[in-house]
Amino acid sequence: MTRVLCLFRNLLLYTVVVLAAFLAVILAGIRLTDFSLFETYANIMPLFCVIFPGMLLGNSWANANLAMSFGARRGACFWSLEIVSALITLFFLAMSFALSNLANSPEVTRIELQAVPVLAVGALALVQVMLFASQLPKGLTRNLLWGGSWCVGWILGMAMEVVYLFEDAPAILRPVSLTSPLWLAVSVCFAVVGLVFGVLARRGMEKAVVQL
Amino acid sequence: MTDHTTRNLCAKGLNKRYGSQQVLHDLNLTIEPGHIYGLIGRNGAGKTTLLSILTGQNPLTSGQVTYGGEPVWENPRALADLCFARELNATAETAQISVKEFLYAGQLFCPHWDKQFADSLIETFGIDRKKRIAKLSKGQMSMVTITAALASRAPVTLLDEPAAGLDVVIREKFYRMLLDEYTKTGRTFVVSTHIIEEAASVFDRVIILDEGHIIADAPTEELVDQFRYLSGGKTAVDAALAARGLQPLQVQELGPHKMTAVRGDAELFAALAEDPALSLSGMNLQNVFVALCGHGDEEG
Amino acid sequence: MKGMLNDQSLIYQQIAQLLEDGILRGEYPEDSQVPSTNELARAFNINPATAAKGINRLVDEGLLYKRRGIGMFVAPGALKTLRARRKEAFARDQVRALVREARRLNVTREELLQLVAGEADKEELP
Repeated sequence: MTRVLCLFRNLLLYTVVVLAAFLAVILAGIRLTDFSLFETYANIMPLFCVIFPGMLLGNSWANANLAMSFGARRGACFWSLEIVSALITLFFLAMSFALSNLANSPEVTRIELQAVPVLAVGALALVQVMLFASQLPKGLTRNLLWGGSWCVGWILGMAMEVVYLFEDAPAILRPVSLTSPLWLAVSVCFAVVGLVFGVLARRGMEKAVVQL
Repeated sequence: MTDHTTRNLCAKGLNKRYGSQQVLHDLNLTIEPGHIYGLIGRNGAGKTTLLSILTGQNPLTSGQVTYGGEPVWENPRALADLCFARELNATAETAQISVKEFLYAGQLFCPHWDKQFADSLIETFGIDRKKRIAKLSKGQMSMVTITAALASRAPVTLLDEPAAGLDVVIREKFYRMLLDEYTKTGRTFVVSTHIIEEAASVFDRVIILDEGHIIADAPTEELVDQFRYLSGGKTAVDAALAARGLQPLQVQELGPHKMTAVRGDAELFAALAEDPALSLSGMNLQNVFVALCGHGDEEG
Repeated sequence: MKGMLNDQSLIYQQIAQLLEDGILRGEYPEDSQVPSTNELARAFNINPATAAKGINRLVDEGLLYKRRGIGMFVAPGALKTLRARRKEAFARDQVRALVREARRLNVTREELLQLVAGEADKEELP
């Protein structure tokens, strides 16, 4: 499996570098300038929690096919894809969290630490949907699943922002944390969806015909 | 069994269905080490499917594929010794990677990979390593496939249409490379092709796949020696066929003259040669193939 | 050299034939070395197993012998054996074909013998 991961090392490196650079630039922009643009970027970052991994994982299925074509085991490829996508997603969330807190600005919504697991469960679950979708042939189903997960991720990120942005939001929505029954229920739903699509993706991999 | 020389790649009762379409029917096949096999068949006969199933890259519907007695599916020991060099095509998602990345993947996953050999082959073929596969010509894609096949140094290497898109001079060069590598290392090769006669002298064994059935699996010269063209006057030929209960293959008629391919042994051919009204001539592998697989497309 | 091979007989038989012709023409004198299996395979772009089969046929017929670690050599007496065999084949194949063709063309025994004698005179056959 380490060998399959090697195929992805460039991708992982790219992720770390790009996100770190983004963080640095936005942070500098907030602290050093008056352009509210930077604050906006910092605020909307969580909304991309599924879109960002999605864009990077776009041709991960092609890489898996390449590996299998040279004799890599399907199990190894599947778990490598899982690890890589999880790492990218979690790193992105960590950067979002760091940015929102380091910004030290009244214009930037601070994400509480307890909210991060909720976002993480949602994002990771939706990434499973995308992994499954990437195995499907190009067409309506695939586009719907892919686009759909991006949208739901967007909505989840936005919901979290809204809760903290508006003081008169219903009390039931706060705090955003796994201790809150509402958000726990939401997370459980996401977890179930993630598990189902994860299993579907694994089975799909088992039955897949390797194509180059 | 840890002895390389006894590791056979076997298929038993292999069936493959795509939906309701049966592509491979109850195949039984043994690839023994130390030979160059030719896998020949018409387009759509199932050659690529068979090769991908033999290397665990395509799940079979029923039956089993083993290497050295162990199943191939998801088995790292078997997969380490097998290499499937596929035909590349520009439309695939994987075609967006560069030649360099493609070969790097080969290096990662093929335990016997010879990087120096790969580099020298790419240079010999004059391919720009930084170029994306999708941007290569069909011939260059074949050259990349050939590079991967040879540089893998895998004990059993399966090549799918490696000569596609290559001009005749490069094809001859490829056969020479293949023979050199085989002579040097004794590796087993299975080469699928539909350019038959050129390659016939390179294969010491040949497997003919016709519409998902294996209709021949024998040493090349032995198989070819079982066939002759029988020709003569129509009545003479018909009489000879009837008298010996022979099945005419690929019949052609020109006026009163009739020619047909027949299958038999040395004894039969000697007997037929005695008849002054008939003449016999030898057939090459391509002729044999067309005689066996050309059904339905003949005239007359 | 692949172009020298034809479809009319099996490749290994043609390889054997080529070596025999070489011996008959004196290109490979007795006790001299003939090309190895690999050299033949390379020259004709054929599988070494096929080349080996051709050589082995000549070994079985006593025309070649193996010197371990060195290669294949023309056996002493090979020339004589080969000439005798070719003579036999000549009678069996070519003479028969001649007679049959004569029959097809309605050439009589008398005419045929005259034709043969005439050619022999022209060629100064001893």
